[in-house]
Amino acid sequence: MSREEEKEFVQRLKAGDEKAFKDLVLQYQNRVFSYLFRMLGNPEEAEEVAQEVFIAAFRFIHGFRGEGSLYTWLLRIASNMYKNRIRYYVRRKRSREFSIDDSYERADYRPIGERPESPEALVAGKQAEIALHKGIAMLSDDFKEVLVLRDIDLMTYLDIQELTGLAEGTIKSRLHRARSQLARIMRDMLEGGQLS
Amino acid sequence: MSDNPQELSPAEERFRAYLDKELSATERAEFEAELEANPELKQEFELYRSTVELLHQVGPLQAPDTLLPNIQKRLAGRHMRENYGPTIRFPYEVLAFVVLLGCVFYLYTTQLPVGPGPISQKERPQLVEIELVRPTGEALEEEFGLQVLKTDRPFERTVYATFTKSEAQRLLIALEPLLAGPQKLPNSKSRAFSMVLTSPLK
Repeated sequence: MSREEEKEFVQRLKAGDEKAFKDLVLQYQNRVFSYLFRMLGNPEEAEEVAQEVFIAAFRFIHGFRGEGSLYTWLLRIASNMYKNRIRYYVRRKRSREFSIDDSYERADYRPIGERPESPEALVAGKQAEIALHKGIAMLSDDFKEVLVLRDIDLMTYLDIQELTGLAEGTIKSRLHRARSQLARIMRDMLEGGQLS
Repeated sequence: MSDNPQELSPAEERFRAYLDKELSATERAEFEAELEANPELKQEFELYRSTVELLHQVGPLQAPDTLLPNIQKRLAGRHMRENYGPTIRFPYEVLAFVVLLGCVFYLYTTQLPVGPGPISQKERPQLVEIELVRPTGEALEEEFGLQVLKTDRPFERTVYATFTKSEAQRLLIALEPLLAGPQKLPNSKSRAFSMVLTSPLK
């Protein structure tokens, strides 16, 4: 969607156009859900928060000034909601009990990209995906967020800066640390046969 | 571990910069040469690169099909509540007031001394309220301070009084000829009279 198209789209949203809102959800639901799933590690919770994100967008679209992209704005809402939820758990000293293995296995939320054709490649790919999912869950929230935004959602450093408010150097540093940690975690898991 | 990019070693920084294509042609060539000369560094970089490539391949996940319908349902519910929701809510204040009133009434009837009557100040362990629908006779009424509440028929009158338990027992003995045999306190089932055992006075 070009800048002009997005502007027009936002006008429709502000006018309360239900069709536009449906299009908004359909257009961004995978990326918003994916971000929340990677951050929270649990599909049910990710869906619940994703619903809240779009409902908040519907309610507060009048506050969107169009300085950044609509997607960055949506993701900022998602990020705030995710952080609020984590703070809630910390404040209530509630643990979030779920199995990382289960959450990915249960998730019928296959990556959108093309799938390998052969069964061997599928199994190998599946193992790597699970290792990746588990590895990401083991990173600190700060590292995880930058990694997910940059390497999975493929956002630019500029968009990440706008979204997180972090300096570019900090983003790059966190990204490098996150990648290195994840690489070691995955190597240990795959070599240790923890996924077999 | 610090976030400060200054703390990344030049080699570490080059890992990221190389993959992000931020190095000049000369820097790239130098880095590649260094990798060839240092197998340990090369192995570390390959692990780093394969992880990043895997991350890039994974891409976004498919959102559940229920997401949009659930959002629409929740928005419709919100819209209904905001526009057509009940304007009268349950009167909790009134309920609280009634409960409070009930408590006050309960305390008043159970904790405070009940009006004048033949209750000696020394003996107030328990009170018995007796309602009699029988001809009692004026002598008994006078002796026990029974209050006549109504007289429906010439030989039947409803009397009411509050006694201590021992006084009630005496009254029952006195009434025995009028009743169907001896009565027990406090659970008399006689149709002719009823009694209620109240809480002890303080």
